[in-house]
Amino acid sequence: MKKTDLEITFETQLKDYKLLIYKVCRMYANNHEDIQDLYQDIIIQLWKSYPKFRGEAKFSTWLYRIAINTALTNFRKQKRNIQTSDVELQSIQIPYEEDIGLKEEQHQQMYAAIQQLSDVEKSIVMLYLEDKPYDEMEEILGISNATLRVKMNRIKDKLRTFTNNK
Amino acid sequence: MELDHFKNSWNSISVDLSRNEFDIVSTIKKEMESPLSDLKRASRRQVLILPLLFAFLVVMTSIIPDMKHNLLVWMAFIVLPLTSIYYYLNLKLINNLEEKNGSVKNDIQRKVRQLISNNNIYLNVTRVLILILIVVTELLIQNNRINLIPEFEIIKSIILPLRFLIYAGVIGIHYFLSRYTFNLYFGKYLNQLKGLLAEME
Repeated sequence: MKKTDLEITFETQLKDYKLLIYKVCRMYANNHEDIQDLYQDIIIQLWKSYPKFRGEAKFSTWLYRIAINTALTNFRKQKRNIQTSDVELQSIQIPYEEDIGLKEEQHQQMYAAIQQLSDVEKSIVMLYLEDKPYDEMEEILGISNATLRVKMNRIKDKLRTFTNNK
Repeated sequence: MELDHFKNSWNSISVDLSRNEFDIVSTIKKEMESPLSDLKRASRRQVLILPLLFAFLVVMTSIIPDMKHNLLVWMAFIVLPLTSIYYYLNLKLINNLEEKNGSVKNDIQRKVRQLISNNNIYLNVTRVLILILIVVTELLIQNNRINLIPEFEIIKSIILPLRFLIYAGVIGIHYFLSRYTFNLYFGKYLNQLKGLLAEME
């Protein structure tokens, strides 16, 4: 399969962000089929929007916007989520996630806690875990800095309550 | 466990991204299945079928001379292109809704605005068309020319107050039917977007 110049540029630019895209998918999807579907949708959406990327925002900001937007407004995933029980969420095994030994349990705890959050809260947490400053979070999500801080405190309380009850 | 403790776990996520399913170029060759895909396919079908129906009507009218004297056929000549334009604009709207521009919240707000305004345009255009049909029918009855629409001749025998009741019924049915159709096609999507916006406030 011959690649066009634009495809090569796109692939080169996106290569360093594949893990980031995967993390977005892992945040919103609960099994490896959904992760793959969402990964595919995000990549296609990025590809469609790529010719319009003028560099007004940072590449990572542009990428986060599209990835989160796609994950939030993705219907197929929501249909499947309804059928997935909480028990399944906590014992999910993803075949391509590499063995990380003792940390595996911590990962499961983290995902189980994150699943308690709403879709918008998940996006805020994800940007927080990625160490994004509030200004950049505002640029990505369009939610004001002050509202983000309030939401962040609520999320921390919610997660604390969840982990204490476990 | 505090949120900050999750940072270590988050940073240690490791995935074998060399697998085929994560290949970028082969992925972009695939078709995206968005929530609007079914609607997009239906609109595409209408954009193709309606002009064909219009062409068929033109051919039939030239073959069957009686059809030229039927006002309903002439109305179809006006309504069919208008409906084709509507579906074409609908297709454009769907393509537009599939695009993602700017920050997440602004983009969702734009989509909600577009969906609502498109629905209002559709409602108003169809309302005007129904009103025109009612006025034309009534004018033809008053001028004893209802034979131009043979299918409507039965209305002539109905007394005026009852006719107005029927017209009101048609407008009422259109109101509920258009709401039902909009909810069927876009309702779930619109509610989802509104829910996300509410969450972002």
